[in-house]
Amino acid sequence: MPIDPDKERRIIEDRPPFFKSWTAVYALVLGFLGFLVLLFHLFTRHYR
Amino acid sequence: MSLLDVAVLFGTLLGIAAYGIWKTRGSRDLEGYFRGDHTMKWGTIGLSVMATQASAITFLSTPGLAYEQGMAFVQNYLGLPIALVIVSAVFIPIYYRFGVYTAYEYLERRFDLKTRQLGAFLFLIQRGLAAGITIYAPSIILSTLIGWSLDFTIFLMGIVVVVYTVSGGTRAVSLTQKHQMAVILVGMVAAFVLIVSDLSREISFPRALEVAGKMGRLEVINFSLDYSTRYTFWSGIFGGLFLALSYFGTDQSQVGRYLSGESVTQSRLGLMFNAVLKVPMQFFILLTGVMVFLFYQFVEPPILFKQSALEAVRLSSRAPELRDLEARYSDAFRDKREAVHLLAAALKSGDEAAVTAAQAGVQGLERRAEEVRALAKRLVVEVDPKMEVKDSDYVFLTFILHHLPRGVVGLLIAVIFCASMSSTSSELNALGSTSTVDLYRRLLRPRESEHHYVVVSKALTALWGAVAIAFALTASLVENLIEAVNILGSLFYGTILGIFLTAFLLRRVRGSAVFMAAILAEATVIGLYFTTDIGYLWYNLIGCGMVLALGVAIQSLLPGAPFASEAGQG
Repeated sequence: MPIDPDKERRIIEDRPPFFKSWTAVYALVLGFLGFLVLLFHLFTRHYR
Repeated sequence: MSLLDVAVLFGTLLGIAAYGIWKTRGSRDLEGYFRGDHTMKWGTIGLSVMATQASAITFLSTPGLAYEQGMAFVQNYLGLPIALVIVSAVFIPIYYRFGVYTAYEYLERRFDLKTRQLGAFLFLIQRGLAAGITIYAPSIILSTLIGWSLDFTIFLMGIVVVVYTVSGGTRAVSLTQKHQMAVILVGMVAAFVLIVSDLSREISFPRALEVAGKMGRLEVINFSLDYSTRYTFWSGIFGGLFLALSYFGTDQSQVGRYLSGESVTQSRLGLMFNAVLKVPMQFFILLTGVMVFLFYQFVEPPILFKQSALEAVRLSSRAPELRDLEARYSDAFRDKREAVHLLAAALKSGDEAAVTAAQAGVQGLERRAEEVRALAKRLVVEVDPKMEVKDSDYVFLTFILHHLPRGVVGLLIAVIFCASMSSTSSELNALGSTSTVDLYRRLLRPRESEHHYVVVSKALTALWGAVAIAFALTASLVENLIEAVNILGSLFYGTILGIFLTAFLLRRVRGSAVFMAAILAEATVIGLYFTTDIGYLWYNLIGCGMVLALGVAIQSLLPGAPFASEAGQG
């Protein structure tokens, strides 16, 4: 099935409404996950 | 339930369902019925994705799981944000590029028809059964509340969901989920605040957390490498990643949600919304369960939370034995309550030796109470061998009914119903669309009108509703509802994900090789499930890894043929 070139361009050029690229958004999300793991670890140690 | 509770419950449920039907009347083509005409913004997608995953089981079983085992279950979700990032970066562009209605359409374009059918078949089996469990969960509530038979309640509950899902398709599902999720969030926050407020008569919130910690309920993270430990950081990150990747990337009940987005950006933002909020939400629900556990350290719980099990004994000639056990349980509870007060006082004083002694005392009395509970369970089974005595799913429900004020009870019951309806509607919508697009349209009647397919899809959605209701009638045999759903998913998801990852990553592997690899991987996973005690999350990793490795190996043994292109066979 042929791929619509206009659709392909829109997908490639897709940008988030904040930050310059999706990579930055993903880095922020994964950084937040790391922060949560650290918090959970401290929480576990504190209440053990 | 009071009249106010009934009004809150039915007003909420019927109001949202009627709104969904009214707002989405008149969808006449597949684009509108399956993808909501691509009109959804990120907020609606985000809430819809969250509501699809957070079923009634989440709000019934999870607090009960925390009550029994503590908070380690949250680790199951640690792989989820990573999975959502991968789905956003890799899966969404591919699905948008090919303009597919279902995830499995892509498999035919990349591989061949039989691989598409295998993917769709595994999904239909797994999701068809899981839909039954999501209907069963809230039905136990209504049957307990109003005294209807469980079977009748399951039937009635299923019909309500089928009506608005069949009527409005994807758009009705997404719109109702947005409002259902709002009810869920308000209700859970209200429950948490009220529990903490009730507890504060006995103990402050910070001290309550310390007591819960000493009673082993606040172990959130466990870095153990023991593969048979069910919840660890590693099984959550790796097994959980593969479970979530398969669920969000290849399960049509989720793919259908974000493919209804207005654009790639809106779909991606909807997923990132979940990547950020899902883990804290699960933590909060588990913490609510721990608060219920603490509440029942000061207010005596029933010897078994499942009242129907106790009722069976009370109506038998063994009733005096139960009364004796209840008296022993009350004694153990009173001693334990004293011991918990001592523990709280020791924690306040900061005297380590006193804390250790009080902790040992509490643990000993907890064991004593559990021994009495075990005897009560044995008594129930002796009276009625068919009776299921596992009662953790009834803990939160019992608390809601007996200890929350009027109006709030109705709201919390509505939370559980909203959660069930939102998940079930997504599942039925996905089962209907997959059956129509991947089987009926592709294999049986490829050249009918759009209107014809919409009518068929509605009929198949209703048929899947009937299958789910039939399965729900046997769901009481499972040990813990939320674990049952995750185990069922883990048995199939690894293989499905392996097929998709092979499609994305291993361009040299073709249809026949991945098909054979998937069959072998699925047989191995099912064999391992019945013969070993490996933690179930690992099945996702095993199934996926086997498809990838076997796909490459089998491809190298097969005679040469042109490699499939992404455009494939269309």
